[in-house]
Amino acid sequence: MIMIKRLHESAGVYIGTGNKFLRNISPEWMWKSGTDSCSSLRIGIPRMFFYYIYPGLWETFFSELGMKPIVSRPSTTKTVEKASQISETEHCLPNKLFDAHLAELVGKVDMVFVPRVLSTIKNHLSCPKFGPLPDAARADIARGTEVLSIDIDVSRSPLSKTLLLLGKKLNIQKSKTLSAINSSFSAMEAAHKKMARPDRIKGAPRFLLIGHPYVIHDNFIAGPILNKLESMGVEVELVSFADDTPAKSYILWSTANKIYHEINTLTSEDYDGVIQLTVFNCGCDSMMIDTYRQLMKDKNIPYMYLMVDEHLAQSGIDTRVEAFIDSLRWRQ
Amino acid sequence: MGKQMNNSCYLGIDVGSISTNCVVITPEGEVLCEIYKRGDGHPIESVQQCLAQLTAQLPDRFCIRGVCTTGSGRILAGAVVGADVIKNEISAHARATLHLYPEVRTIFEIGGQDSKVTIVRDGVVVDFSMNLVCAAGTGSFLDSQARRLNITIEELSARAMMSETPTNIAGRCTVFAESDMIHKQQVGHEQKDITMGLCHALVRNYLSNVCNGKEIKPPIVFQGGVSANKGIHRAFKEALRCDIIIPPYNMVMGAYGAAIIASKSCIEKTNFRGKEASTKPIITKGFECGDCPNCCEIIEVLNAAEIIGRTGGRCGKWEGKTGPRESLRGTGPKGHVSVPSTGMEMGHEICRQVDDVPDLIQIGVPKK
Ligand code: SF4
Ligand code: SF4
Repeated sequence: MIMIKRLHESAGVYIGTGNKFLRNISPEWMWKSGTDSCSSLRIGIPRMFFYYIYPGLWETFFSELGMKPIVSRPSTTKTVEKASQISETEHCLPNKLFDAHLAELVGKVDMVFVPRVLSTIKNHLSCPKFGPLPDAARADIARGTEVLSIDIDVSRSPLSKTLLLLGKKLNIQKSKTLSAINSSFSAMEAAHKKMARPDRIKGAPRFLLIGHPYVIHDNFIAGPILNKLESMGVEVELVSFADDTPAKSYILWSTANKIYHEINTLTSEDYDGVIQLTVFNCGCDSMMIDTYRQLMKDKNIPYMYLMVDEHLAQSGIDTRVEAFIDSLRWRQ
Repeated sequence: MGKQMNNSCYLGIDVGSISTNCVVITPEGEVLCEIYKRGDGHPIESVQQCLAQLTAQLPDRFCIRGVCTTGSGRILAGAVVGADVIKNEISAHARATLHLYPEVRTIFEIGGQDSKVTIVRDGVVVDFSMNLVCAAGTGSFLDSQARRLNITIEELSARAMMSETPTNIAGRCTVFAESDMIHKQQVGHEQKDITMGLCHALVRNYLSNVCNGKEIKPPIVFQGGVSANKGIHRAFKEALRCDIIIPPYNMVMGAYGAAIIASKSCIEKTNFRGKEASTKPIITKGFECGDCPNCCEIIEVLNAAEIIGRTGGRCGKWEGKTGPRESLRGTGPKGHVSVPSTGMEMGHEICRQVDDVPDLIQIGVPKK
């Protein structure tokens, strides 16, 4: 067991150094989990960021450990309304939505889970916005609720080791944690397969939708666009993040690296068009859009980017998508 | 038969945020009548007034054989008049420009609330972009600054043309521009220089936001409501150092394009409601869908008691549907069916949605 010293009774105190930025967990939870009575423990998982980066992983992991995972509802306009009330105005849209998802869980669960995702691929970085999430949660939105957190920094230690540490932190037998890790990894694999949207319509125009996983899978951000494309008879494939071996490149932002290499291998036969979904205030995308655009132009694949913010009306999406499809028809 | 053919014509209606325009053309693309009407936020009334004006202007022997609506209010307008085709404004504008200038390579379109750029190569639209949330590169920027200077937009245009040493005005956003303009007024810059400075600010903003990353190549055609402003035209010419073509019908190009699309759509029998559409009172009624947590506001367009169209909703299930409301409830896509769900299915036994979780019971302990 790791030594846990309570330095301070107030929230937000870190114990340990280096990678082990573990926060103290109230002794009662330690006790509960130790005596296997943590089956009553409800752990809330916000449906944003790490939920989509590691699809299916967290629910399975925690339920295998004997807890009850509870995931917030898919984003809707209600979530956005909530976000505008509680979140920082300068955040990017997913970060605002994250706050709203977290707020939805507070008061319904015994503990919320907010890991600090520093890197998901070895030697590559995640968006710096992920860094302060647990602290922000403790200081503000989830104040008063237990926040379970752990550093996910694949550059330093692989995910399985991190999960092992998490189990240890929760005072769970190693063998139990190990089997939970196994089943959660296979659940993640299955979820990745499901998320990639296999072909359905034959002979229809085929588009590739690129963007951060939590952007292209979020119901509020991507839903209207996917619906629109579907109603126009277009088959859409979402870029897959299942394979996490990084490609050699100067791009050290993990999702951008993945997207870049995904589209770098495309030929104009693969897809009729590439649509990039980006969100207002995303620093990473604003750096990358030009690179993607140039790449798509060199390959002669029609490319469009759609920027979504809280206020983007359906008519704005419709106009852009229709015009894009019209321009493809004209080309033929 | 032949006589009838000569009398057929096609109507295009462009319902934008600021104006409603109508154009009637012959099958050869010749304009018979054009109407530009600045609206006041009542798209249905504007469309009806336009139609009434049009019936008055158009000689009786002409018969409308097809109607296409475009612009941000296209669905609503389409329901009101009985459109045969409903087309997005980017395609409509491009169609009109390509009809007049087949060799065009860049189309600038600046309207009241939005601005677009369309890149054309070899007669084909290859790229386009629209302003997002920022209004600093649109007509409303000039409108508000003209109001601030207490002159009309026409005066602003005329004065800008007289300027020899335009003032440099920060045009990053309307708020900055305004305070910067006040400052420049106070330090004594001439009004004509300030107005030209505003035109430069708009153009700079447009080029850096909307045209960002696009390959702007001549011939360039500039259209939309703001293209009537000579100051902007001049600012574009100075910024890009090349000629900018302002087409005839520059104010109504969207409607013109729509009319061309209607004429090329092989419409056998038009749905156009004719004169009746401009006289019958059309009302709209809103209701909340409530089929999913998005709770969208849906607008029903009613002609007397008959539902002639619906619009609104994030999932598009109500768009254009005319059936009774109850029969459509619960059908079609809902807010979140299309996004593949990650991880566990909803309602999976190991993973519960927050919906089915009761609130934590809080027990209050009275303080001593
Ligand atoms: S990558 Fe962009 S969208 Fe994602 S958290 Fe960072 S800023 Fe937000
Ligand atoms: S998204 Fe669709 S189903 Fe949901 S409330 Fe809106 S219109 Fe109704």
